[in-house]
Amino acid sequence: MNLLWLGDPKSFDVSLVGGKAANLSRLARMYHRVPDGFSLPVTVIDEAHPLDLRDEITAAISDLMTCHSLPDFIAAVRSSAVDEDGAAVSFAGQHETYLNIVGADAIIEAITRCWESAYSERALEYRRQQGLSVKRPQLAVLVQQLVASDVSAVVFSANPVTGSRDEIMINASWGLGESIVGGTVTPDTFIVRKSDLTVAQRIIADKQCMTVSAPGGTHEVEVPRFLRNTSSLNDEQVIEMAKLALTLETTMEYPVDVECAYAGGELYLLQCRPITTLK
Amino acid sequence: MSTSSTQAPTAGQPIPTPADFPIVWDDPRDAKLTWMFNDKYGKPIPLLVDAVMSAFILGSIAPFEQAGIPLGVRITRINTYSYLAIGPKAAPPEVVMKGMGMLNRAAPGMFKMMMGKMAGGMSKKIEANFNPILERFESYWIDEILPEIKQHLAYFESSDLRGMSLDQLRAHLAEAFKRMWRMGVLHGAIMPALFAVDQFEELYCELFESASTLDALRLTQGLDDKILEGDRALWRLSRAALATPEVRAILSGHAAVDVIPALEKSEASQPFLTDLRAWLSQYGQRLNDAFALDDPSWIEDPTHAIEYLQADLALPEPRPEMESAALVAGREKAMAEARAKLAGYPQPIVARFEMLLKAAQIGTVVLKDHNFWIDQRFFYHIRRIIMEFGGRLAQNGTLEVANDVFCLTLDELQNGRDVSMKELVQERKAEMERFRHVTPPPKIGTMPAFEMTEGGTLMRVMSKGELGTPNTSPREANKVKGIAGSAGVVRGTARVIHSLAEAGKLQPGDVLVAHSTLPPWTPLFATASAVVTDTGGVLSHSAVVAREYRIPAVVGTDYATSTFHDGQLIEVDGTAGTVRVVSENPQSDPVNLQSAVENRKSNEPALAG
Repeated sequence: MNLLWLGDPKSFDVSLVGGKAANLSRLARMYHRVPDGFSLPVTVIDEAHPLDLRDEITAAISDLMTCHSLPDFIAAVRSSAVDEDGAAVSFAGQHETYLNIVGADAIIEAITRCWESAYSERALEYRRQQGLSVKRPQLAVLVQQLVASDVSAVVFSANPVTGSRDEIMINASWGLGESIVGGTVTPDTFIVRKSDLTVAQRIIADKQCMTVSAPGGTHEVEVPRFLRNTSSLNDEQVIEMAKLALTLETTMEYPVDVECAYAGGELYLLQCRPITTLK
Repeated sequence: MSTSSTQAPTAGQPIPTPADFPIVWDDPRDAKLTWMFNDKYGKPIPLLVDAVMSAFILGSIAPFEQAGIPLGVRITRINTYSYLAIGPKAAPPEVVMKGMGMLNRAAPGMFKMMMGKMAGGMSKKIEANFNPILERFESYWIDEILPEIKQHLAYFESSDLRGMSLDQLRAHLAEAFKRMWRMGVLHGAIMPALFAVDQFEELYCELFESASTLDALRLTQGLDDKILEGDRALWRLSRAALATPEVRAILSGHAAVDVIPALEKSEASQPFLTDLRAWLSQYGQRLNDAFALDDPSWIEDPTHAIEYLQADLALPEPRPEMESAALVAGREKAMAEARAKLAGYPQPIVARFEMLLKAAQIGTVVLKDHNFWIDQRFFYHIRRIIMEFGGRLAQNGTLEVANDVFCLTLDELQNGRDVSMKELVQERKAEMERFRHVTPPPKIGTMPAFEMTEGGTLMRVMSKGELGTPNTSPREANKVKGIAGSAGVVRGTARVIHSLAEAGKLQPGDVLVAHSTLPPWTPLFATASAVVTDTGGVLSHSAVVAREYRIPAVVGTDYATSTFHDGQLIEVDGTAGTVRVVSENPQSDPVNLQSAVENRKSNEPALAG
């Protein structure tokens, strides 16, 4: 077995699968609804061309489709370069991302592109010209289900604006998370009191744009008028997100910044990091 | 329609009337209202037709009030023509008009804001009332509206008019008027159909950049409706006629009025005649227009049906089936493309798209089917009842002829009158005759003190239907600009048709030019290469049917019937919404004529893809 499933304790190892996959694996272990996927660890990809792994990758995708009753497997394919200590290193090809990749063949092609961007003669020649080390980088690739988010949110287990640790702040808007993270949309804001988990404040914004999947990737489009000033979350959903952030904060033992999304009525955990900017 | 030559009056001022149209107001307060010529009848309207139309229209306004829209409508008959005034209902009209006029003069900015707010408030009310209906639109039509319509029709079908005593007949007429008001309510209650198509089209154009209204409407086309069903059945009859040499000879060798007597005498034509009669009993329960009560129904006089049949004989292709298959394919393709594109969109958008798509598809069918049930069948029954009176009154010598019954009032029919009915009828007919050649002014009374600059949802939705929008393009000598009603470009000989009586002059490949087209005209769309109208919007009858027949249409031009005349070669651009004269005399211009003849075959509007 060359591939490592998300949530498999072996993929907690940053030096094997990269930071993002290791982090998501730990989260998947704690909180089950992390979009499913697998990694091609450094040890594998260093020795084999992705095309040599075709059968194994195809079988893994077919397993995922069966397991989650999916008609298609729509993936995000990301590369992650690590050094022997597991720290991310900086060079071309270290974080290639391909979103909305559908089906085994296209996924294998995306993995191949990640591989080529780091290992091809052209990439090495480029690095030579730039005066960079031509030592082969340590590369891992993560293949993860891309959930079709109806609403995306960033949840802070402490209020990043006031610094208050008694409140949870949620920013939410329509579609995939890029428009919120990239700051192109003014999201809805919800403040939840930690003491009794009640919604203390709701600011419904005029949400003009959203990111949606489009063939071969994503793009930003206008939100239709009927939905712009509609609250992206109901109170029940706000509370569910707040509870998730609280659980993660308790486990991690530090305030967290959580990316999550509702897709088909289910709450998915997409990422969780410490809040580094708290006063 | 020519307008009065005087300078346009300013807001709030009396509208000058032409010398041949003197007005004496029964109630002087009525002079303060803005009255619009009600062109639903068009000609001097007999009193009883006026009574039927008024009861029906007032009923059709009732759902607006239920929806919280205080729309007050008054109908009156001035110089034998029908006029209609619309205004807010809450306060006496002169108070509202005066107040608004004063505010408009004193503080135009505030006035505009207030009107905008009012329109916005109406829009919210309409949306709040209509949106839940759209969610269950299929059931709304099939389980709530249609059964009651059918129940009224069944009531009329089962009544034995001949067997009734005069008193019973009078009671029956009173009952019919009650049900007429109710039919009006049901007719008004299909307003959400227009709203459904409007909302779908708005969302579609928002979601898919560069999509046009006509692109959106492709997803609602090619669905079966009762009007097309009748047209297709008639078309199949024309194929049966072609297959029987005797029938074919009779249809092509006789004037329409002489066809049935000739068929009756021909042994070989009997099976065809049976089928024709079956068609008439199924689809002939119609008048030449809903309110053309004083004209015979198609069952009484099948001439128009025969004319359509004769016109269908000349069309070589299996048109209706072919058009339908292409429309269905186009619709399915457009739906699949839209769904593929929306696959990655948030669920609330996909859900609303699917909800509005379904509502718009059913709405498009309802926009046509209600014509079949109400405008055609229901008014056919109303005519039967009135004519039963007419027949009896003519028989006992009260009237000269049965049709004179339309010149009586409802009260006279119910209670009789001491004076001679014959004299009354003569006077009234003479009055109508006197005004027949007078052009009724489009507006009388007082100029509205305000213009609804921001009409909100209601005005937008209404303007897409028969109402249309005022044409802001300047009037030109040999071209008109209107609303793109059905895509494609075509050249053909102009034929201006004012009524079904003129339908016979339309030859295959001609462009049908009309004030507006009425439901009984649809078979003409199989013969015409394009349609151009003065009135209506993209969801008007003319535009909807033109799309089903896949011929270009330009609607709401205001001036088409007064700009073009028979015999000109004109070019209709249904995509751009323009129509222009190509040649005054195509006969002397063989190149242009040839292109017109070729049209029929080469015209595959953009809809085909």
